[in-house]
Order: sequence, then C-alpha cells, then structure tokens
Amino acid sequence: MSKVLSKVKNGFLAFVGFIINAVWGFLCDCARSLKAFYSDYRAYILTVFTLGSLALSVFYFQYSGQRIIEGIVDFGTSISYYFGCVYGMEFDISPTVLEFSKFDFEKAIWLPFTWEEFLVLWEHYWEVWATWENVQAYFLWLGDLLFYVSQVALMVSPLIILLVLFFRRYLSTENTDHNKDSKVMILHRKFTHKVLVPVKTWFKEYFEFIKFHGFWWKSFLVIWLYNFNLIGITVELLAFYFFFVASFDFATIYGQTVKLLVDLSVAIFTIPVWGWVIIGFVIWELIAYKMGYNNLQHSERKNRGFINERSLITFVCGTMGSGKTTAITDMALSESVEFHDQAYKILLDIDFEFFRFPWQNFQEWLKTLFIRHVIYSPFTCKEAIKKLHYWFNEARKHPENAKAIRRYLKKEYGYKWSISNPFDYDIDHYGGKFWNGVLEVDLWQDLEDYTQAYLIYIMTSSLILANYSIRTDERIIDLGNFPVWDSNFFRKERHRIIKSHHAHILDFDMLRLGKKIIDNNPNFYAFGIGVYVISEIDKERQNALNLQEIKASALECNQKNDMFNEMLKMVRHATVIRNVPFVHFFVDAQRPEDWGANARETAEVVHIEDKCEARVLLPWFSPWRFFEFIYDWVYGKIESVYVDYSVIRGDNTFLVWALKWLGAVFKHHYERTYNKFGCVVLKLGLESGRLEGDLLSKKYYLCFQKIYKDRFNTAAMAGFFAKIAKHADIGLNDLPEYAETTATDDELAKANSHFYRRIAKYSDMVESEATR
Amino acid sequence: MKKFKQFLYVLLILAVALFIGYFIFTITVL
Repeated sequence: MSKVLSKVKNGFLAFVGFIINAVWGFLCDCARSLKAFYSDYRAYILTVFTLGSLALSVFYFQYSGQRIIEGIVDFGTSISYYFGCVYGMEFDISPTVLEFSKFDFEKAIWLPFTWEEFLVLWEHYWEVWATWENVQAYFLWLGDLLFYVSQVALMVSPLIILLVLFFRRYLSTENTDHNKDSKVMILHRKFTHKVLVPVKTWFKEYFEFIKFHGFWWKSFLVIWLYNFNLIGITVELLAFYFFFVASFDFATIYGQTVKLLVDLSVAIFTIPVWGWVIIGFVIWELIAYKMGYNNLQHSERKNRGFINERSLITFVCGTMGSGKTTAITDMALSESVEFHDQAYKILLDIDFEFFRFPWQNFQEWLKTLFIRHVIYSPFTCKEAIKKLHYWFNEARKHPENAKAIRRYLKKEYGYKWSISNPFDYDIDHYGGKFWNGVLEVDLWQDLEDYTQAYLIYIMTSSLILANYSIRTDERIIDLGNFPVWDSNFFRKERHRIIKSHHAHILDFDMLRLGKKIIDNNPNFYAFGIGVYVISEIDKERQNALNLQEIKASALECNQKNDMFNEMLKMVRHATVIRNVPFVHFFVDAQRPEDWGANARETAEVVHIEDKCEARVLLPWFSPWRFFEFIYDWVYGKIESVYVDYSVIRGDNTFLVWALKWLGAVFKHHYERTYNKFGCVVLKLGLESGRLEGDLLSKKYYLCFQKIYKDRFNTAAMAGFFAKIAKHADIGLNDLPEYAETTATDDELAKANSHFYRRIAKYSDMVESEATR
Repeated sequence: MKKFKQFLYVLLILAVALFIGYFIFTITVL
C-alpha cells in the first residue's frame, strides 16, 4: 500500500515538476522575446499607443463592455429559444435579443425604436418632403453653402492670380542654364533629402516593424474592434440569428436594425468626418476594383465562347495595323488555357467513371513516365498503357511469371504496385467496365485517355507553336498531388514577370506530308496536339496565281509538292482525345484571297472590320466619366505650361517642379488604370473560307493587361531588317533632299524607279532625235 | 463631341447629387 502511495506521490511530484518547468520555460521565453522587443526604441512608441487605446477602452468606451455582457446574455436566451422551438423543449426564458439595451448611450441615433413609430415618422417625412417651404429651405441652405464655398474661392483666387503672375515672369526671361536649380529649388531639394525622405523612410520602417510583431498589431486591432463595439455587434448578430431561424419573425428585423445602428453609433460619432471620407473612398475603390476585375474576366469568358464556337482553323484578315496578329496571339493564349481546362474536364470525367480507382497512384506513375521521357506524345501515352495492359494479362495467364513481370515493369516503367490489381485497384471486386448509357467503357481504354489528357495537363512548357515568339506565363501549382493551373490573365497584385515560357518554334516541315525542306526532319514526327499560330500565312503559302510558275514535279520542296494542304485537312485525326480535338490553327493575312483556296476553304475567315476606341472597364473611370474629365483638364493645363517653360528656359524652378509632380501623379494613376483595365473591342465579320454569303457580326475583346504584357513583338520579324540595317553607313538625315518643289532630271534619276526609268528612256530618245 | 459628352455627364452627376441632397436635407429638418 505504502509502495502504491509513494508511486502516486512520486508521480504527482513529477507532474507538478513538469508543469512548473513548462510554465517557467514559457515565462523565460516571454521575458527573452520582450527583452528583444524592447531593445528597439520603436517598441516603446507601439506600447504607448496600445496602452493608450486600452485606457480609452476602460475610461471612454465602457458602453462596449456592457454591450458584450448583454450580447452574451442575449445569445444564451436565443440558444434556449432555438432548442425550445426546434426540439420542442420547454424553457421558461424569453429571447432578450428583442429588447433594447438597458444602458443609455448618449449618442444614440434618433430613429424610433418600434416599427409603428417609424411608420408615423415615415408619413410625416413625405408630408414635409412635398412642401414648398421645405424646397425653399433647401435652396436657402444650398445658397448658404455656396456662399461659404465662394468665400473660400475668394480667399484662394489671389493665390492663383499670384501663381499665374509668377509663371508670366518665369516665361518672360529666356535662359539655357541646363538643369541649374533656382534658390527655392535648392532649398526644396535640401528639405527633401534631409527631412522628407528620412521621415518617409522612418514611417515605412515603423510599419514594417509593426507588421513583424504580429502580437502587438493584432492586440491593437482587437482593442479597437472592442472600442467600436464590433465584438458586441457580432455576439448580438449570432443571438438574433438563432432567434430568427427558429421564429422567422420578420417584424423584429426593424427593431434589430435600429439596435445595430445604435451600437454602430459609437464608431459613427467617434470617427471624425475626414476619417469617414477616407473610409468611404477606400470602400468605393474596393467595390470599383472588384467590379473592374469582374468586367475583365467577363470579357475573357466571352472571348473563350467566341473561340470555342470556331472550327479548327481560324483565319483572321485585316489591313495593316488593324490588330490581326494581336488578335490571333490573344486567341492563342486563351485557347492554350482552354486546352488545360478541357484536359482537366476529361481527367475529372474519367475519375468519376471509376471513382474507386486509386488515381493518386496512377498519377504518380504517369509523372515518373513523364520524367523518364517514356510518355511525350499522345501516341506514346497509348503505347505505354497498351504495354502495361499486355503485361498484366500475361501475369494473369501465367501466374508463375508474375514476379518476373513485376520486376521487369518496375525496372522499365517504374511500376511499383500490385501485379494482380493494377495500381492496387481491386479490379476483380470493383470491375473494369463502366456503362455510360450508350457504351460499355473499358478501364484500360479510360486509362489511355486519362494518360493523354494528363500529359497535356502537366506539360509545363507552352502549348503554342508559332512562327513568331509569344510569351505565356501560366503557373502550375503542384504540392506533390494533383497539380492545378493558375491561368488568370488579370492580377490584382503587382505581378512581375519572373518565370515564363515562350511558344515553340513552328517548324513548317512538321506540317508537310510530302517533300520537306530538311529530309527526314525529326520534328515532323512530333506533330500533334497544340495551338498553331502562323502570321502572314499568305506570304508563306501564296495562292494559285502566285504559284503558276512553281511545278509539283520540282526536286526541291515547294508549296505544290509539300502536301501541306492535305495535312491541314487531316490534323484533327492526330489530336482527338475522348472526341475533343486538341488542335487549333490561328493564321492571319491582309487579304483572304492571297491564301490559296484549297487550304483557305478549310478555315473560317474572320474579318477585322472595325476597332472601337479603347475603354476602361473600371466603373466610374471610363472615358466619358468623372476621373478622365478631371484628368484631361488638370493634365492638359499642366502639360501646356510645362511645354511652354521647357521651350523658353532650361533651368529648374520649384513652381514648375511642383506642377510637374502633380501632373505626374495624375498621369501615373491614369496610365496604370488605363493599362490594367483598358479594353479594345474588335468588331468582326465572320464568313466561310469560300468567301460567300453574308458576314456574321461578332465581337472580340482585347484587354491590355492580357495582351500587352510583353506577349509578343508587334514587329515580330524585325530580325530580318536588323540584318540589313547593320550594314548601313548612312541614315535618313544623310539621304539627299529635293532642292525645290519641282524635281530636276538628276534628282528623279536618283529615285531608281521603274516608272521614271521608263519615262527617262523615251525622253532621252526624243532628245537625241531632236539634237540629230 | 467627347468633351460635350463629358460635360453632360458632370451636369448629370451634379443634378443627381442635388436631388439626393434634398432627401437627406428633409431628414435633417424632421
């Protein structure tokens, strides 16, 4: 007995020792972190602010504490009421949430507490509203307001006149003192370097300091949530929720709204007017930005709808500068995202067909095959599954060889699961067939489709093949399980281009069934899935008229013997997975007729008929709205003053610097918003490749944030011209000019024109005959 | 035309503000 007692005693002492040790350790940790915290003098400022807020909680915002206690009581009675109603239990408690606060709050709002009182007031309101006296009183008040505004304007106007006079004085003296600062400017620069920049840096570092010490800013936040009664409101909201879902008494909503306003009045009256202006502006901006981003996403969805409606070859035509290459680039970017989405849909469909199949194992295996370069095209995907299927059948037919087959599969294919049950899927128990209502789908067929779709899904390089460079920046997020794509073209945060891919170089030999430029070109065999983009297809393929002299029997590869057109007509067959073709050609040219009809008629022709004026999809900003009106006015004025100044003077004066700074603030905001939310609508006319019938009107949205983010170079083929230009010893300035408005014979001869040479030939003949 | 359109929008905003202001003013005199 004594032994047991002593064991209990020892155990108890050990437990107490452990607790004391843990508490001591915790206290030591706290002391250490506090010591580290207070080693920085900024910690004292933060502490003063936090303790000051806490003092306000105790001495000024007592109402908040009282309301939390009331809220907890209300919550308790509401819960009792809820269980009483829902489970038929009898409690002799009435929900106190319906009662108003017992504590008087001096800044309570003036709304009546009951609905009946409110109705009386409501009637009275409209009676007053409709009286002529009230209208007169309103305009009198407005007149008073305008009087004060004009008084302020009167006080400010001499300053403006003074500014104008200053400018006049500036502009009356010319100088070429380049970058020389005026006296005020020197003072300003000193003030900026010695005061403004250090203060700005201090505040920046102080906010970083606060951000780093999470405990302190969170405590500060909680104190002010308490002060402004928001904790009490949350508890009351929960109390009313439980009362309402049990009672559905809509008549109580008015009373609760008044109660909420009374509770909010703490914040409403404590925060000063300028505080509310800032809060209002921030809320306004948040709503506007949310709507702006929704508009951008909506435009992108409409574009995807347009592309999905198209056939496999989309031929965009338009004049120079109409934006046809921009349009096909934008379409290719969207289609590349669409391919990922389509592949994802196939993966999910198959996943649910055999929902018991351990897809995680299968995905792991596919990743291994992808890394080992066993699967790299739809064909290799099919082959891998076919081989696996074959070896599984062999193992079943000859169980004595199962172990050897498993060893072989592990070595060659990295397969590490059961040999009797593929990927540990109990095929005998759960079955290997799925009846889809029309067909009996085989598991192995599904695995083939899954592998092909998975290959498209996890390929991190671009799905675009083009005859010019296109940059893509979709990001794959892979935590080691099923990866997801972040394909959002519109980002709220400042998104720097860190990692991106570029389109693959389109080797035209890939698209030639017949003769090729490089015999036995290995790239030819790589033809398959992808978004193919060909700019200036007319110059590449030409039409029958241009190819008159070209013979199909020629030894060299040409447009008549390369069987490009035949390939184009059959592309679908190489790229279909579960009836979804993973191929799309986007091509462009200036005139549709310039591309031979044989190939063109396989395409849909999209004419760019018009390009609307760019508009900003951010609400309350768009060209005809408020901000641009102010921007145009302010920036216009500043720009004209600045240009005048920079023509006449070369030095720096403070006033012009200040104006330029203001102009830059406006311009930067305008430029950023314009680039983020700008959108041009292309008005398109759609017709078949046979170029007959009426044009069908369509729209396509070019959003700047998507297409002008260094996606492609509008001078994509500048490389060729650079090769020519590097040999040039003369520039435009060195070329001879005409001496007068009538060109001389010698000057015309310098034009090296076919036309002038022809005329010169006859005029020379006439001259020689005349002299003879 | 664009400037005129902008001017009309500013007038419209002012008119709406005047109208809404009347409602708020009536509340304050109750």
